[in-house]
Amino acid sequence: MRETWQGPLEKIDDYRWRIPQTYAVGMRVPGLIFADERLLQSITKDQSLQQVANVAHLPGIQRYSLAMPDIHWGYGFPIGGVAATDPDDGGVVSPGGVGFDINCGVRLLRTSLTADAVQPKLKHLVQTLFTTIPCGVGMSGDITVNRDAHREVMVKGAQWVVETKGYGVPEDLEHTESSGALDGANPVNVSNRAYQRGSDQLGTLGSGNHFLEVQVVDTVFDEETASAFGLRIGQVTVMMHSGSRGFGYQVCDDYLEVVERAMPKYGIRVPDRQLACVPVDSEEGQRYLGAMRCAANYAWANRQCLMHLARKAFEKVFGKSWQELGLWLIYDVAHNIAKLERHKVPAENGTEKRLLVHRKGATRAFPPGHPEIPKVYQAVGQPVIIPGDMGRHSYLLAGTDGAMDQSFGTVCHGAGRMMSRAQAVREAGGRSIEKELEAQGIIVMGRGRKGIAEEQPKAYKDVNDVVHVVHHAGIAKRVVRMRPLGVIKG
Amino acid sequence: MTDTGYQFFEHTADVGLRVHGATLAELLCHAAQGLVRLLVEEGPIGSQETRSIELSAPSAEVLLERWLRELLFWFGTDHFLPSDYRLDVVTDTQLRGRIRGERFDSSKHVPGVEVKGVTYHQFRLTHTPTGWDAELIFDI
Repeated sequence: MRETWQGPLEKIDDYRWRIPQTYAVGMRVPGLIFADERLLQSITKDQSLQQVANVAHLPGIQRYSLAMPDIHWGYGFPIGGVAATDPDDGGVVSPGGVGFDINCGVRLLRTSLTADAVQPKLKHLVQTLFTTIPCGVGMSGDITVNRDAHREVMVKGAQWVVETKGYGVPEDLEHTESSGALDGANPVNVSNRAYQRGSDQLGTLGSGNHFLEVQVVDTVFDEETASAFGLRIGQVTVMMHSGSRGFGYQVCDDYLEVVERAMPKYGIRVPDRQLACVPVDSEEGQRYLGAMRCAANYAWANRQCLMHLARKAFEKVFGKSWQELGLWLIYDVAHNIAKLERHKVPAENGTEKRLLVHRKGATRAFPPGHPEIPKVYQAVGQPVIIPGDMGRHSYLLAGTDGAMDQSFGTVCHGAGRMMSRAQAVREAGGRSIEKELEAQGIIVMGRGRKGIAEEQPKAYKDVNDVVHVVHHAGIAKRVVRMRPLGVIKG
Repeated sequence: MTDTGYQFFEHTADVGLRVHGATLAELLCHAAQGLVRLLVEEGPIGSQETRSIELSAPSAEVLLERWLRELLFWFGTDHFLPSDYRLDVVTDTQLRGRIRGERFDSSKHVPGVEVKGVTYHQFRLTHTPTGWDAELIFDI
């Protein structure tokens, strides 16, 4: 099933490659891949570039079907794929362009602790985080919601968690993409089955590549921006990666069927069933977007709950309040989402148009001065959080004007997988990845036996290579690099 | 194909499942067993709870999708794991039967991976001279 890419790939420069529109009949725009020659060697080994070409068939797609350097084979869209469609030009919305885990995303906290202060308590801290935060298959959370509360979560997102549960402070919301709640969420469009699946999942991490990580800043690339983000070398940070849990999966499930059934009505044909789509302004498109926004808001509520639990674990271990420990939220970003945004379209003489930007494993990266980023970051640009694997590094970047010019204000979302799960387990060959990481000073705890082997560092591209490309392509700039100290996995 | 009637195939981030059954009913059972093996790595799954199931669909492909989605829904809502399948009626467009199983128990089940959904990507179900074959990819 892992077919090597045989199609054309034109080099634009050291960091940009094009799949010409002539590659396949039906492509409405070319493909544009951000990568260097080294990353291309792994990218061309699976079917992700074919998926870039397939996405280029979507009605109303603008400029390019985009792929970030962490791209890998997904389902329908590649992971690391971006497509902007114009609703006024027959543009479509595709639930597959968002995926099952709607608003899967990452949040990053700083602390006032140094690695030296954390080190003696690191094992205890990781154990406490592991027992405080429900993670892994078959785990429910303690934060349950009845139907009325659930409806409020869908509309208010993280704000509901702060105001109703008292988990966190209003400042957290200012430091969350879209303030932790998208407008236009419509609970009427959410099925009873989704309600049922979401009733006990707030404040749960999940499994697979979801994680919570205690890290230390090991490199500062840009002192001024790092200072604006409240970071300096040697400082401990906390990163978490999770999404909308079963609630979002069910919303996607429900609408894949709705949208596929409706396609003939609009005369739409796509090369992969998973790219099923309908016009943005159609009845089905609006229903999906209303439900998708509910799931996106649920995800922000979930990450707000997870952060609350993490703060409690730190309080328990260090015997101080989270405020005294300086556990402030730097930012929270979505990386599986479709959002209406205003972008310049060259074909329209550079005028701004309202486009629906699908980000499937890709992160919004808005530049300094953009009205949608917090006041406190206006001078430096949006913080962009890029998790790597559990043995190497993660990054904090800042948004740039280059992303607005080239990629609809979008950048990569992580390191990107390179090995299949089975291949990663085979590669581990029964070795204890936990012990290997512990020898490097990284404490890892997980629930499954195979899970940590599946998620081992070698399964991923080196995030340093991925970030090198986006920095030099000018679609984000490096600010700070972190290395892991402790990790919990589902 | 292994003697279990299913085998996994590789995908960069997700997991592919290849299934065979002499009949459509057998294929549905094998697909369910593959799904359960992903959710739980190890540990016997009991059969103390019985549930009824009735599904209809416009085609056998959609029936297979809905079957797996129903089982995922059961697991996603109350962690029910099927172990025994009595499918009384199975046509290309209809399924009726009783499923026995038990709820996930962390004291005896080693958790596997969370399955987020059944994707449409490269989904295939074919009726062959030797029975039924399917390939599908789960989002992990």
